[in-house]
Amino acid sequence: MKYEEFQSAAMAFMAEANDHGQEWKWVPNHPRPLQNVGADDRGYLALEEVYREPLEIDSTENRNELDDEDSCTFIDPSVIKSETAQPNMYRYHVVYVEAYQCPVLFLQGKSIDGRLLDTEYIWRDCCGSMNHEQSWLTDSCLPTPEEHPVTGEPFHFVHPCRSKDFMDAIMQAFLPSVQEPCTQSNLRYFKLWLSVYGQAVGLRLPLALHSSNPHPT
Amino acid sequence: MAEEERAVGEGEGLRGAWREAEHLLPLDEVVRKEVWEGSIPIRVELARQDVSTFEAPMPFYVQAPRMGYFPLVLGQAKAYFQNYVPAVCCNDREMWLEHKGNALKWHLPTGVLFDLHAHGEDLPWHLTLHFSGVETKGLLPYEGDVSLRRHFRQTLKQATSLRYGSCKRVNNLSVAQMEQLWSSLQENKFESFTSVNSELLKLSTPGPSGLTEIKRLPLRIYLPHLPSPIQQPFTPFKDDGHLTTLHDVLLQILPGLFETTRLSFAKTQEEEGEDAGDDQRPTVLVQGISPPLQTPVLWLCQQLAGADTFLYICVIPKSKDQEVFAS
Repeated sequence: MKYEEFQSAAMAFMAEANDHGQEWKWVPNHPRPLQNVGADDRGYLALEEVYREPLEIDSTENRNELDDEDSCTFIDPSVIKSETAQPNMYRYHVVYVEAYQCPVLFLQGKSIDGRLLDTEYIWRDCCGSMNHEQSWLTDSCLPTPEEHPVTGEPFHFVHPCRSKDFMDAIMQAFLPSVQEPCTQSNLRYFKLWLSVYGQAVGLRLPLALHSSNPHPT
Repeated sequence: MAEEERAVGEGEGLRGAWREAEHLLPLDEVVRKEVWEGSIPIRVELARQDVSTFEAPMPFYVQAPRMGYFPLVLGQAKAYFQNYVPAVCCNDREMWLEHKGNALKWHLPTGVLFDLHAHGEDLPWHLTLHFSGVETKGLLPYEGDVSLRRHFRQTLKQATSLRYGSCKRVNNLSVAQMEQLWSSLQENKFESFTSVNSELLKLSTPGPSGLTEIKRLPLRIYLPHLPSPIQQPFTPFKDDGHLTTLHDVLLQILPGLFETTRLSFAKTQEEEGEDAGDDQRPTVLVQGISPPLQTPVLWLCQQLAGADTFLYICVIPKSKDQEVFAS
């Protein structure tokens, strides 16, 4: 997928999703320095301020953490359920990454006081995963820390390494009965891709977005 | 007929490119070893607000490899300073390095950070090590050695995906090879590094068809005031068969800065000997040197790439342009 295809598909997706109550927006990349020297503009798709109630920490787990000498002084405030629990805020960005020539899903989680959520907390909160053993040599399907390609902020991203093979198979399974124009095909790809990868990290899309999709042949 | 003509043209372009490229592609071990051995003298002092003893400690001095990463040398600094810092703060998660009020990104090669932020300054490079306040600095979370390893591997895969169109060459490395690549960075051993690294840079097919294995040049272009690198696709050679030059890349990405370079060339040609035109040119740094802008980028990618096989290009605007960027 080329950047231009990504942008048009993202714009079309945004229009549909916002018609169904979400609040996606297209963020053009206009850092003034680049504008002043005539550099290309490249933007990304963003869903900001998705709130999620903090995880319940059961008393056993809490006690274990307190008993653990190594962790007792570094308990992340965001995992301690306070008297009036405040929600965490997530941001989801869909950015075209030149290295892989496809859209990549980036997410960032913060507690109400602005602290970044830990990687492991995000795994449990968004992915329902308790997997703590991640070798640096294996490809994780869980989000891992990465610098946002446009803003430079600390985000997590879902590695797109096998996106192409996976999405090719899905697109084949959902082939429409008649030849569709490229823009429609790109939009269909985008919706399917985001419904799969977004689901994996706690991003819910309106069901109505898929009502117009053809059934598997 | 049009397609046949295009095919003939493409073949000619490829053959022309190969004539230029075949002498550039073999890895030049003399150049590469010299790049590997590049280092930066660094003076690290402990942030005043993190000193919890009556007397502040003396600064810590270290020679840091350009191709390495700060966490690999800061282990020693942390051990050196730990007796002066509150025990609860002395851990990897809280550490961060500051240069003139700016937090340095631990995941970038040390040489890139120096070229970008301290080019032209007196040595040693003066840095401040902090053990508190990291939350507000916008840095990727650092949770020990595994964070750096994982990030290095991710970056390596990105560069490989750009270069060849897939990550297969990295995925095909054995665990032992990947471990060797990493330990050679930790221990600064060139022979150990290059025996694995060259697997990622050699073409598997000789001749013009081998050149087509390189899909795009793995470039990251940094400017001091931008929050993230500029990455755009560039092929190793143009349709006319000439290799893509550093000037081609910079003119396309930063036309406002490098159009003056054209004028500079013209002026220099007309008024031979005058240097007035050159003063307008931004400083372009790769591994601490300014390559001639006519250098083929393919050669730079083969010989001057970072350990993660990205070519890092730092563009430092002149003070006049700084105002443009600062506004």
